Amino acid sequence: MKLSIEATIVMLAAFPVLVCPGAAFSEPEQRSWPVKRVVLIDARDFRVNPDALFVDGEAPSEDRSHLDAAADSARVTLAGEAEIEVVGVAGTGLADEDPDSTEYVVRGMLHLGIERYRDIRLVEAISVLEGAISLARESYVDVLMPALVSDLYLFLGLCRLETGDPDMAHIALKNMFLYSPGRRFRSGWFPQTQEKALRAAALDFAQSPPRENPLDTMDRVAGFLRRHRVDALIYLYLWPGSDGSPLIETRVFERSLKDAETIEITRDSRLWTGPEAASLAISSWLACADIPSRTDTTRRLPRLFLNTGFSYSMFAADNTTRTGFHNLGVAVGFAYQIQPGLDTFMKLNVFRTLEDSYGDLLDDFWSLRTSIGVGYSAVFSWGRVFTHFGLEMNYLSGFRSSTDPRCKLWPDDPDLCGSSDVSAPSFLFGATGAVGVNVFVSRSVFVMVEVGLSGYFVASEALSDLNFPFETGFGVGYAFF
Amino acid sequence: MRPVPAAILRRLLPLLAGALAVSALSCDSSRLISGVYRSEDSVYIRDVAGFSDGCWVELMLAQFGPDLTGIVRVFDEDQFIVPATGMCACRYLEDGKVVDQDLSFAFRSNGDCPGSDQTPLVIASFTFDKPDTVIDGGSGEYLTGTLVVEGGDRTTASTITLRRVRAWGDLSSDDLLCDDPLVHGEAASGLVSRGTAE
Repeated sequence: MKLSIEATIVMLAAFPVLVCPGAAFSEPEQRSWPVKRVVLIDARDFRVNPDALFVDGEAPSEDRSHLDAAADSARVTLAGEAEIEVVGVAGTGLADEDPDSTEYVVRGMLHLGIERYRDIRLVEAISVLEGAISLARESYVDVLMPALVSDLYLFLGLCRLETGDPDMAHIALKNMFLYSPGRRFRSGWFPQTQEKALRAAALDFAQSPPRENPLDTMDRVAGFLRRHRVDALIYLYLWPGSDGSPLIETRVFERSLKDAETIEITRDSRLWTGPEAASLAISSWLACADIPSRTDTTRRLPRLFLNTGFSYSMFAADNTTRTGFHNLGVAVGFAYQIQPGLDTFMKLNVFRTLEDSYGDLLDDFWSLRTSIGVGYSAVFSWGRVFTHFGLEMNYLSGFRSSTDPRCKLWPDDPDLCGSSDVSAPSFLFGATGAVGVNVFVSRSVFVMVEVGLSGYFVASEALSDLNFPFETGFGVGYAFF
Repeated sequence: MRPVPAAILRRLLPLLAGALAVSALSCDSSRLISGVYRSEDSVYIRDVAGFSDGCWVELMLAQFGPDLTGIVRVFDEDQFIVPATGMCACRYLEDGKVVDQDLSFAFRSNGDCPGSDQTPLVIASFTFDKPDTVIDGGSGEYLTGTLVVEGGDRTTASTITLRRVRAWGDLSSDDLLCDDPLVHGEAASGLVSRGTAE
């Protein structure tokens, strides 16, 4: 077979289309930088004229040329932003030629409902049509295939009229206009009753403010965005303003950066001057949109750490008792990250002593230990590691000790226990150092473990009596961002 | 923040609580001997005035680890009601020591109450029987040993048994009272050897 040059060129040009029919609807090129995925659903023109609802002869299909032009203009503007990825309806996966897709199921139910309507099996028809509408809403077919859902509501309304339920019919027919406001009907095609009902629904729709949310509720918007893995949904519609001038309304529903379950709405309303008005509206949104490069992606780490817990302490150098004595107490403290790696802290401990095994400690007593200083710390996503250095003051309330057994049994009898037999330091001043770790158990709540050692260089009594307390503590805390 | 798995925390927290509980517990062996003991029989101490005819001895002992202090009371009868006559009925222990379950201490014989520093010391040496040695259905807590005057022969001294009649926790403030003239009276000056300051 001999091919002409022209035929060869045509075949070569057609090859990619013939071999890769899905290329026209394939996913956009994967970009190496973060992008915001946006879906632009079909625009709608809510300028319904009830008087022009019925036309002589064959009803024309809805004129969407101006809406398509507006959508194209918006799409071009969106495509000009490198950090925006426009995901078309095809890209959502619902337009795939999959006979098992929900769209085909809904379409099949529509045909079944129409057959039941024509067979005057109205109850069954209503059941099928309502089921189809419910399924369409569950799978967001009502957003992606509004004309299909409009047909469902049309026949549901007609069935309701036949069953003598004009109120419900009115609601269904009004919903029909919501999904396909530009549809027309052949004059005389429907009985007078039905024509009247259609005209009344159109009039009601035209007099009612349009719904700005194509999905009705924010929960459905969040579900749609989540299901199709997109960050924003853009919806354009035309409607007459208060003075009758056409307005183009733009609504952008996008997931909040702070909380993915929260939907933020951006509204734009401007005079419809042609398709470029859509471009201007989109440009206006893009100017302030939270696209990735404008988003503060710096990982925010907590600055203020507040903790409470239990502490244990014992003096490493203790000349007042022969076996040493234990201190159990509670602690409260905070640390503030001055800058990465550097923090300042303050801590307050209240201890209660436990009796030492030889009873050298004549009385249990309270002690108040407070420290303040700076530290080196590293904050991670899982927690924080720190080392603290500072000054410490320790006040010992009613400390008395003796190794004389008579002082233990008769501490207040001067004949048996001389005052020189009891040592009683009350204030200790020195330096402290500690290391610790905070581990987050939730975003802000953490558990804390800390060990430290202090050394005193000033005391109200002999310094050698008590010194170098080591301390360990554990507790829980809260981190403030 | 990336939280730590709860399973790890669930394992760590009981360990921490257990460690704290163990550290909070203290062994009470340092108070093992404390209590009030009474002699089972009349006590005779050779060459000590007042004890030659036999009398009944009550010890209030307070142990603080290796140290021991307390009061020695002497009675004329086995009901421990009538204080001994002709001698000081109450003395403070001196230089009490405890090593394992062996204890020793001294007290002034004070046969010439109100006494003086010339009064000889009585040296006590006892062993605390373990609580599981139950005798006659009593408390099963006994001190067995000797009381010997200072310089006396311990090998020939008769063995004395005292039974604990009150544990440390059952003592009242009256048990701690002792009007010892050597301590509180005119003869108090410089007689008692006390512990020194730390």
